[in-house]
Amino acid sequence: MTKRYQDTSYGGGNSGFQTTEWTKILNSELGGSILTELYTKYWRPVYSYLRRKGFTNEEAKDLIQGFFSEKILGQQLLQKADRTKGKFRTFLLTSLKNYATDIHRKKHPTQELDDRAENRSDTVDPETEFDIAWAQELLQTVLQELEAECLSRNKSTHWEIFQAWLLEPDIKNGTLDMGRICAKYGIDHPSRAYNMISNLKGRFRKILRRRLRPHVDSDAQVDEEIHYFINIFSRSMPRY
Amino acid sequence: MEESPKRLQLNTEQSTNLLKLGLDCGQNKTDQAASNARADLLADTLSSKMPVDPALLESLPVVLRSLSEQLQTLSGLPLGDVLLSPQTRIALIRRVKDFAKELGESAKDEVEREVALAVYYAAIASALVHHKVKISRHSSDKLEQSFEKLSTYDWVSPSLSRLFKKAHDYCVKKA
Repeated sequence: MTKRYQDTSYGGGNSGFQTTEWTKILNSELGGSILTELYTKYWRPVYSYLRRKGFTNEEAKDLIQGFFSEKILGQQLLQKADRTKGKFRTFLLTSLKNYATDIHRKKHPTQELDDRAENRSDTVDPETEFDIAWAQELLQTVLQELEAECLSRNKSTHWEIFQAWLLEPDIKNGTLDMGRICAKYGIDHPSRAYNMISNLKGRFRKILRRRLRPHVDSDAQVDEEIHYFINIFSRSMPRY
Repeated sequence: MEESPKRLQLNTEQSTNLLKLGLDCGQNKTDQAASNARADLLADTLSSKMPVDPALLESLPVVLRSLSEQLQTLSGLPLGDVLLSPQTRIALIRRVKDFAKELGESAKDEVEREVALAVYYAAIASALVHHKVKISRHSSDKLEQSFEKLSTYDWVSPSLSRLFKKAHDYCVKKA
Protein backbone atom coordinates (compact mmCIF):
# COMPACT_ATOMS: atom_id res chain seq x y z
CA MET A 1 0.00 0.00 0.00
CA THR A 2 1.20 3.49 -0.72
CA LYS A 3 3.00 4.76 2.33
CA ARG A 4 1.33 7.66 4.04
CA TYR A 5 3.50 9.80 6.23
CA GLN A 6 1.55 9.58 9.45
CA ASP A 7 4.27 8.07 11.57
CA THR A 8 4.60 11.10 13.76
CA SER A 9 2.58 12.64 16.53
CA TYR A 10 4.12 16.03 15.94
CA GLY A 11 1.85 18.82 14.82
CA GLY A 12 -1.01 18.36 17.26
CA GLY A 13 -4.48 17.09 16.76
CA ASN A 14 -5.61 19.52 14.09
CA SER A 15 -8.89 20.25 15.76
CA GLY A 16 -9.52 23.50 13.93
CA PHE A 17 -9.67 23.49 10.15
CA GLN A 18 -12.59 25.81 9.89
CA THR A 19 -11.49 28.81 7.93
CA THR A 20 -8.43 29.14 5.81
CA GLU A 21 -10.25 31.15 3.20
CA TRP A 22 -8.44 34.07 1.69
CA THR A 23 -10.75 36.69 3.13
CA LYS A 24 -10.07 35.77 6.69
CA ILE A 25 -6.36 35.50 6.15
CA LEU A 26 -5.99 38.73 4.22
CA ASN A 27 -8.22 40.68 6.58
CA SER A 28 -6.42 39.58 9.68
CA GLU A 29 -3.26 41.06 11.04
CA LEU A 30 -0.55 38.48 10.73
CA GLY A 31 -0.25 37.89 14.40
CA GLY A 32 0.41 34.79 16.42
CA SER A 33 -3.14 33.52 16.30
CA ILE A 34 -3.54 33.26 12.53
CA LEU A 35 -0.07 31.79 12.19
CA THR A 36 -0.80 29.21 14.85
CA GLU A 37 -4.04 28.36 13.12
CA LEU A 38 -2.37 27.91 9.75
CA TYR A 39 0.46 25.94 11.32
CA THR A 40 -1.97 23.57 12.99
CA LYS A 41 -4.15 23.15 9.93
CA TYR A 42 -1.41 22.66 7.39
CA TRP A 43 1.21 20.85 9.41
CA ARG A 44 0.39 17.35 8.19
CA PRO A 45 -0.07 18.23 4.49
CA VAL A 46 3.22 20.16 4.52
CA TYR A 47 4.99 17.37 6.35
CA SER A 48 3.63 14.73 3.95
CA TYR A 49 4.75 16.78 0.96
CA LEU A 50 8.28 17.20 2.30
CA ARG A 51 8.64 13.53 3.19
CA ARG A 52 7.47 12.49 -0.27
CA LYS A 53 9.95 14.98 -1.68
CA GLY A 54 12.69 12.96 -0.03
CA PHE A 55 13.43 14.87 3.17
CA THR A 56 13.99 12.89 6.36
CA ASN A 57 11.66 13.16 9.33
CA GLU A 58 13.92 15.64 11.15
CA GLU A 59 14.70 17.67 8.02
CA ALA A 60 11.00 17.95 7.24
CA LYS A 61 10.18 19.18 10.74
CA ASP A 62 12.98 21.77 10.61
CA LEU A 63 11.79 22.95 7.20
CA ILE A 64 8.25 23.36 8.47
CA GLN A 65 9.45 25.53 11.33
CA GLY A 66 11.52 27.59 8.92
CA PHE A 67 8.76 27.89 6.38
CA PHE A 68 6.24 29.26 8.82
CA SER A 69 8.61 31.50 10.80
CA GLU A 70 10.88 32.81 8.01
CA LYS A 71 8.73 32.68 4.92
CA ILE A 72 5.21 33.32 6.17
CA LEU A 73 5.89 35.45 9.22
CA GLY A 74 9.29 36.93 8.34
CA GLN A 75 8.59 37.80 4.71
CA GLN A 76 4.92 38.52 5.26
CA LEU A 77 4.09 36.13 2.48
CA LEU A 78 0.34 36.25 2.98
CA GLN A 79 0.18 40.02 2.72
CA LYS A 80 1.86 39.86 -0.67
CA ALA A 81 -0.38 37.10 -1.96
CA ASP A 82 -2.73 37.59 -4.89
CA ARG A 83 -5.93 35.66 -4.17
CA THR A 84 -7.08 35.95 -7.76
CA LYS A 85 -4.46 33.38 -8.68
CA GLY A 86 -6.28 30.48 -7.09
CA LYS A 87 -6.90 28.54 -3.93
CA PHE A 88 -5.04 29.28 -0.74
CA ARG A 89 -3.96 25.65 -0.55
CA THR A 90 -2.30 25.90 -3.96
CA PHE A 91 -0.66 29.18 -3.04
CA LEU A 92 0.78 27.70 0.13
CA LEU A 93 2.06 24.64 -1.71
CA THR A 94 3.78 26.74 -4.38
CA SER A 95 5.42 28.87 -1.71
CA LEU A 96 6.52 25.75 0.14
CA LYS A 97 8.00 24.26 -3.03
CA ASN A 98 10.05 27.39 -3.66
CA TYR A 99 11.17 27.55 -0.06
CA ALA A 100 12.24 23.89 0.04
CA THR A 101 14.10 24.28 -3.27
CA ASP A 102 15.96 27.38 -2.04
CA ILE A 103 16.99 25.75 1.22
CA HIS A 104 18.07 22.58 -0.56
CA ARG A 105 20.18 24.52 -3.09
CA LYS A 106 22.00 26.32 -0.30
CA LYS A 107 22.90 23.05 1.39
CA HIS A 108 23.46 20.88 -1.70
CA PRO A 109 24.34 23.15 -4.66
CA THR A 110 25.13 20.23 -6.98
CA GLN A 111 22.13 18.05 -6.22
CA GLU A 112 18.65 18.56 -7.61
CA LEU A 113 15.90 18.31 -5.01
CA ASP A 114 13.92 15.87 -7.14
CA ASP A 115 16.86 13.45 -7.08
CA ARG A 116 16.05 12.75 -3.48
CA ALA A 117 12.40 11.97 -4.00
CA GLU A 118 11.24 8.39 -4.00
CA ASN A 119 10.99 7.29 -7.59
CA ARG A 120 8.63 4.37 -7.24
CA SER A 121 5.77 3.65 -9.56
CA ASP A 122 3.47 2.73 -6.67
CA THR A 123 3.68 6.12 -4.99
CA VAL A 124 1.91 9.36 -5.73
CA ASP A 125 3.78 12.56 -6.44
CA PRO A 126 4.52 15.01 -3.60
CA GLU A 127 1.88 17.52 -4.72
CA THR A 128 -0.81 14.84 -4.70
CA GLU A 129 0.45 13.64 -1.34
CA PHE A 130 -0.07 17.18 -0.03
CA ASP A 131 -3.66 17.24 -1.28
CA ILE A 132 -4.38 13.76 0.07
CA ALA A 133 -3.11 14.76 3.50
CA TRP A 134 -5.20 17.94 3.32
CA ALA A 135 -8.33 15.94 2.50
CA GLN A 136 -7.58 13.45 5.25
CA GLU A 137 -7.32 16.28 7.75
CA LEU A 138 -10.61 17.63 6.52
CA LEU A 139 -12.31 14.24 6.95
CA GLN A 140 -10.90 13.87 10.44
CA THR A 141 -12.25 17.28 11.40
CA VAL A 142 -15.68 16.52 9.99
CA LEU A 143 -15.76 13.22 11.88
CA GLN A 144 -14.73 14.95 15.10
CA GLU A 145 -17.51 17.50 14.70
CA LEU A 146 -20.02 14.77 13.94
CA GLU A 147 -18.97 12.77 16.99
CA ALA A 148 -19.21 15.85 19.24
CA GLU A 149 -22.65 16.61 17.81
CA CYS A 150 -23.85 13.05 18.45
CA LEU A 151 -22.58 13.04 22.01
CA SER A 152 -24.16 16.39 22.78
CA ARG A 153 -27.53 15.13 21.49
CA ASN A 154 -27.45 11.81 23.33
CA LYS A 155 -26.89 9.95 20.08
CA SER A 156 -23.82 8.03 21.11
CA THR A 157 -25.29 4.77 19.75
CA HIS A 158 -25.84 6.48 16.39
CA TRP A 159 -22.16 7.38 16.40
CA GLU A 160 -21.04 3.87 17.37
CA ILE A 161 -23.11 2.32 14.59
CA PHE A 162 -21.87 4.87 12.08
CA GLN A 163 -18.28 4.11 13.06
CA ALA A 164 -18.94 0.39 12.68
CA TRP A 165 -20.41 1.04 9.23
CA LEU A 166 -17.45 3.24 8.31
CA LEU A 167 -14.68 1.02 9.58
CA GLU A 168 -16.30 -2.25 8.53
CA PRO A 169 -17.17 -1.75 4.88
CA ASP A 170 -18.25 -5.38 4.66
CA ILE A 171 -21.51 -4.29 6.27
CA LYS A 172 -22.37 -2.53 3.03
CA ASN A 173 -21.72 -5.63 0.99
CA GLY A 174 -23.94 -7.66 3.21
CA THR A 175 -21.07 -9.95 4.19
CA LEU A 176 -21.04 -8.74 7.77
CA ASP A 177 -24.19 -9.49 9.68
CA MET A 178 -25.93 -6.31 10.77
CA GLY A 179 -27.85 -8.44 13.24
CA ARG A 180 -24.69 -8.98 15.25
CA ILE A 181 -23.99 -5.25 15.27
CA CYS A 182 -27.53 -4.64 16.48
CA ALA A 183 -27.13 -7.20 19.25
CA LYS A 184 -23.92 -5.54 20.35
CA TYR A 185 -25.52 -2.10 20.63
CA GLY A 186 -28.97 -3.20 21.79
CA ILE A 187 -30.85 -2.20 18.64
CA ASP A 188 -34.04 -4.14 18.05
CA HIS A 189 -33.93 -4.41 14.25
CA PRO A 190 -31.32 -4.02 11.46
CA SER A 191 -33.58 -1.64 9.56
CA ARG A 192 -33.42 0.74 12.52
CA ALA A 193 -29.62 0.54 12.46
CA TYR A 194 -29.58 1.35 8.76
CA ASN A 195 -31.84 4.34 9.44
CA MET A 196 -29.44 5.56 12.10
CA ILE A 197 -26.53 5.24 9.68
CA SER A 198 -28.50 7.03 7.00
CA ASN A 199 -29.26 9.84 9.43
CA LEU A 200 -25.58 10.39 10.23
CA LYS A 201 -24.56 10.08 6.58
CA GLY A 202 -26.80 13.07 5.92
CA ARG A 203 -25.24 15.00 8.78
CA PHE A 204 -21.76 14.07 7.59
CA ARG A 205 -22.61 15.38 4.12
CA LYS A 206 -23.78 18.72 5.49
CA ILE A 207 -20.77 19.21 7.74
CA LEU A 208 -18.31 18.25 5.03
CA ARG A 209 -19.87 20.62 2.49
CA ARG A 210 -20.03 23.45 5.03
CA ARG A 211 -16.35 23.02 5.87
CA LEU A 212 -15.30 22.83 2.24
CA ARG A 213 -17.34 25.81 1.10
CA PRO A 214 -14.94 28.55 2.36
CA HIS A 215 -12.16 27.03 0.28
CA VAL A 216 -13.93 27.40 -3.07
CA ASP A 217 -15.93 30.07 -4.86
CA SER A 218 -19.29 28.34 -5.40
CA ASP A 219 -21.44 25.37 -4.34
CA ALA A 220 -20.75 23.71 -7.66
CA GLN A 221 -17.06 23.88 -6.89
CA VAL A 222 -17.64 21.98 -3.66
CA ASP A 223 -18.68 18.99 -5.78
CA GLU A 224 -15.74 19.52 -8.11
CA GLU A 225 -13.40 19.58 -5.16
CA ILE A 226 -14.89 16.37 -3.73
CA HIS A 227 -14.66 14.66 -7.12
CA TYR A 228 -11.03 15.76 -7.33
CA PHE A 229 -10.24 14.23 -3.94
CA ILE A 230 -12.10 11.00 -4.79
CA ASN A 231 -10.02 10.77 -7.93
CA ILE A 232 -6.66 11.26 -6.23
CA PHE A 233 -7.55 8.80 -3.48
CA SER A 234 -8.54 6.26 -6.14
CA ARG A 235 -5.30 6.83 -8.02
CA SER A 236 -3.29 6.30 -4.85
CA MET A 237 -4.88 2.89 -4.30
CA PRO A 238 -2.38 0.22 -5.33
CA ARG A 239 -4.86 -2.45 -6.24
CA TYR A 240 -3.08 -4.69 -8.72
CA MET B 1 -2.85 20.21 28.61
CA GLU B 2 -5.80 19.90 26.28
CA GLU B 3 -6.35 16.39 24.98
CA SER B 4 -5.99 15.97 21.20
CA PRO B 5 -9.19 14.90 19.48
CA LYS B 6 -9.38 11.22 18.63
CA ARG B 7 -8.30 10.42 15.07
CA LEU B 8 -9.91 7.51 13.27
CA GLN B 9 -7.44 5.50 11.24
CA LEU B 10 -9.00 5.62 7.79
CA ASN B 11 -7.66 3.67 4.85
CA THR B 12 -7.95 4.95 1.30
CA GLU B 13 -11.18 3.10 0.59
CA GLN B 14 -12.84 4.39 3.75
CA SER B 15 -11.72 7.95 2.98
CA THR B 16 -13.13 7.64 -0.52
CA ASN B 17 -16.44 6.32 0.81
CA LEU B 18 -16.70 9.29 3.16
CA LEU B 19 -15.94 11.76 0.40
CA LYS B 20 -18.68 10.24 -1.73
CA LEU B 21 -21.13 10.92 1.07
CA GLY B 22 -20.34 14.60 0.71
CA LEU B 23 -21.49 14.86 -2.86
CA ASP B 24 -24.67 16.75 -3.58
CA CYS B 25 -27.97 14.94 -2.91
CA GLY B 26 -28.45 14.60 -6.63
CA GLN B 27 -25.55 12.21 -6.32
CA ASN B 28 -27.88 9.23 -6.20
CA LYS B 29 -28.63 9.95 -9.82
CA THR B 30 -24.91 10.37 -10.44
CA ASP B 31 -24.23 7.03 -8.76
CA GLN B 32 -26.77 5.37 -11.00
CA ALA B 33 -25.24 7.07 -14.04
CA ALA B 34 -21.78 5.90 -12.96
CA SER B 35 -23.08 2.38 -12.47
CA ASN B 36 -24.59 2.45 -15.96
CA ALA B 37 -21.33 3.81 -17.35
CA ARG B 38 -19.42 0.96 -15.69
CA ALA B 39 -21.87 -1.61 -17.05
CA ASP B 40 -21.59 -0.17 -20.58
CA LEU B 41 -17.82 0.03 -20.48
CA LEU B 42 -17.49 -3.48 -19.08
CA ALA B 43 -19.77 -4.82 -21.83
CA ASP B 44 -17.69 -3.00 -24.46
CA THR B 45 -14.44 -4.30 -22.99
CA LEU B 46 -15.66 -7.87 -22.79
CA SER B 47 -16.88 -7.82 -26.36
CA SER B 48 -13.57 -6.46 -27.67
CA LYS B 49 -10.69 -8.68 -28.71
CA MET B 50 -7.22 -8.87 -27.27
CA PRO B 51 -4.71 -6.63 -29.00
CA VAL B 52 -1.79 -8.36 -30.60
CA ASP B 53 1.14 -9.10 -28.33
CA PRO B 54 3.78 -6.44 -29.17
CA ALA B 55 6.61 -8.87 -28.45
CA LEU B 56 5.22 -11.30 -30.96
CA LEU B 57 4.86 -8.58 -33.57
CA GLU B 58 8.43 -7.45 -33.01
CA SER B 59 9.67 -10.91 -33.86
CA LEU B 60 7.94 -10.91 -37.25
CA PRO B 61 9.39 -9.50 -40.47
CA VAL B 62 8.08 -5.99 -41.11
CA VAL B 63 6.04 -7.03 -44.14
CA LEU B 64 4.11 -9.57 -42.10
CA ARG B 65 3.33 -7.38 -39.10
CA SER B 66 0.35 -5.52 -40.47
CA LEU B 67 -1.22 -8.63 -41.95
CA SER B 68 -0.58 -10.61 -38.81
CA GLU B 69 -2.20 -7.97 -36.67
CA GLN B 70 -5.34 -8.00 -38.76
CA LEU B 71 -5.56 -11.77 -38.85
CA GLN B 72 -4.99 -12.24 -35.15
CA THR B 73 -7.51 -9.60 -34.16
CA LEU B 74 -10.08 -11.04 -36.49
CA SER B 75 -9.54 -14.59 -35.41
CA GLY B 76 -9.42 -13.87 -31.65
CA LEU B 77 -12.38 -14.43 -29.37
CA PRO B 78 -13.96 -11.55 -27.46
CA LEU B 79 -12.45 -11.07 -24.02
CA GLY B 80 -15.65 -12.15 -22.32
CA ASP B 81 -15.62 -15.50 -24.15
CA VAL B 82 -11.93 -15.94 -23.40
CA LEU B 83 -12.57 -15.47 -19.69
CA LEU B 84 -15.66 -17.65 -19.49
CA SER B 85 -14.49 -20.56 -21.61
CA PRO B 86 -12.95 -23.55 -19.76
CA GLN B 87 -10.96 -24.26 -22.94
CA THR B 88 -8.94 -21.05 -22.84
CA ARG B 89 -5.25 -21.71 -22.37
CA ILE B 90 -3.68 -20.43 -19.16
CA ALA B 91 -1.10 -18.41 -21.12
CA LEU B 92 -3.88 -16.45 -22.77
CA ILE B 93 -5.60 -15.84 -19.44
CA ARG B 94 -2.34 -14.43 -18.10
CA ARG B 95 -2.20 -12.10 -21.11
CA VAL B 96 -5.72 -10.90 -20.38
CA LYS B 97 -4.69 -10.21 -16.80
CA ASP B 98 -1.66 -8.19 -17.93
CA PHE B 99 -3.77 -6.38 -20.49
CA ALA B 100 -6.32 -5.44 -17.81
CA LYS B 101 -3.54 -4.19 -15.59
CA GLU B 102 -2.31 -1.94 -18.39
CA LEU B 103 -5.84 -0.71 -18.94
CA GLY B 104 -6.13 0.15 -15.27
CA GLU B 105 -2.82 1.96 -15.18
CA SER B 106 -3.74 4.11 -18.15
CA ALA B 107 -7.33 4.70 -16.99
CA LYS B 108 -8.50 8.29 -17.16
CA ASP B 109 -11.09 8.09 -14.40
CA GLU B 110 -12.53 5.92 -11.68
CA VAL B 111 -15.05 4.21 -13.97
CA GLU B 112 -12.30 3.00 -16.30
CA ARG B 113 -10.18 1.88 -13.36
CA GLU B 114 -13.03 -0.08 -11.78
CA VAL B 115 -13.86 -1.83 -15.03
CA ALA B 116 -10.21 -2.70 -15.68
CA LEU B 117 -9.98 -4.03 -12.15
CA ALA B 118 -13.02 -6.23 -12.72
CA VAL B 119 -11.46 -7.70 -15.87
CA TYR B 120 -8.17 -8.18 -14.01
CA TYR B 121 -9.88 -10.17 -11.26
CA ALA B 122 -12.00 -12.01 -13.81
CA ALA B 123 -8.79 -13.33 -15.36
CA ILE B 124 -7.57 -14.52 -11.97
CA ALA B 125 -10.98 -16.08 -11.32
CA SER B 126 -10.95 -17.80 -14.72
CA ALA B 127 -7.56 -19.40 -14.05
CA LEU B 128 -8.72 -20.61 -10.64
CA VAL B 129 -12.10 -21.92 -11.73
CA HIS B 130 -11.09 -23.51 -15.05
CA HIS B 131 -7.50 -24.58 -14.38
CA LYS B 132 -7.15 -24.60 -10.58
CA VAL B 133 -4.14 -22.33 -11.05
CA LYS B 134 -3.48 -19.19 -8.99
CA ILE B 135 -1.97 -16.55 -11.28
CA SER B 136 -1.89 -13.79 -8.68
CA ARG B 137 0.36 -13.02 -5.77
CA HIS B 138 -2.58 -11.76 -3.72
CA SER B 139 -3.36 -13.93 -0.71
CA SER B 140 -6.30 -16.31 -0.93
CA ASP B 141 -8.11 -14.23 1.71
CA LYS B 142 -7.72 -11.09 -0.33
CA LEU B 143 -8.89 -12.86 -3.48
CA GLU B 144 -11.85 -14.36 -1.67
CA GLN B 145 -12.96 -10.92 -0.46
CA SER B 146 -12.44 -9.31 -3.85
CA PHE B 147 -14.38 -12.02 -5.70
CA GLU B 148 -17.24 -11.76 -3.25
CA LYS B 149 -17.37 -8.00 -3.57
CA LEU B 150 -17.20 -8.03 -7.36
CA SER B 151 -19.96 -10.63 -7.58
CA THR B 152 -22.35 -8.22 -5.81
CA TYR B 153 -21.87 -5.19 -8.07
CA ASP B 154 -24.95 -4.44 -10.11
CA TRP B 155 -22.85 -3.33 -13.07
CA VAL B 156 -21.08 -6.69 -13.38
CA SER B 157 -22.82 -8.94 -15.92
CA PRO B 158 -24.55 -12.07 -14.56
CA SER B 159 -22.14 -14.43 -16.36
CA LEU B 160 -19.10 -12.67 -14.91
CA SER B 161 -20.80 -12.49 -11.54
CA ARG B 162 -21.24 -16.27 -11.61
CA LEU B 163 -17.53 -16.67 -12.43
CA PHE B 164 -16.63 -14.50 -9.42
CA LYS B 165 -18.95 -16.55 -7.20
CA LYS B 166 -17.38 -19.81 -8.35
CA ALA B 167 -13.91 -18.38 -7.73
CA HIS B 168 -15.00 -17.23 -4.31
CA ASP B 169 -16.36 -20.68 -3.47
CA TYR B 170 -13.12 -22.23 -4.71
CA CYS B 171 -11.09 -20.00 -2.39
CA VAL B 172 -13.37 -20.83 0.55
CA LYS B 173 -13.04 -24.54 -0.14
CA LYS B 174 -9.25 -24.32 -0.38
CA ALA B 175 -8.94 -22.30 2.83
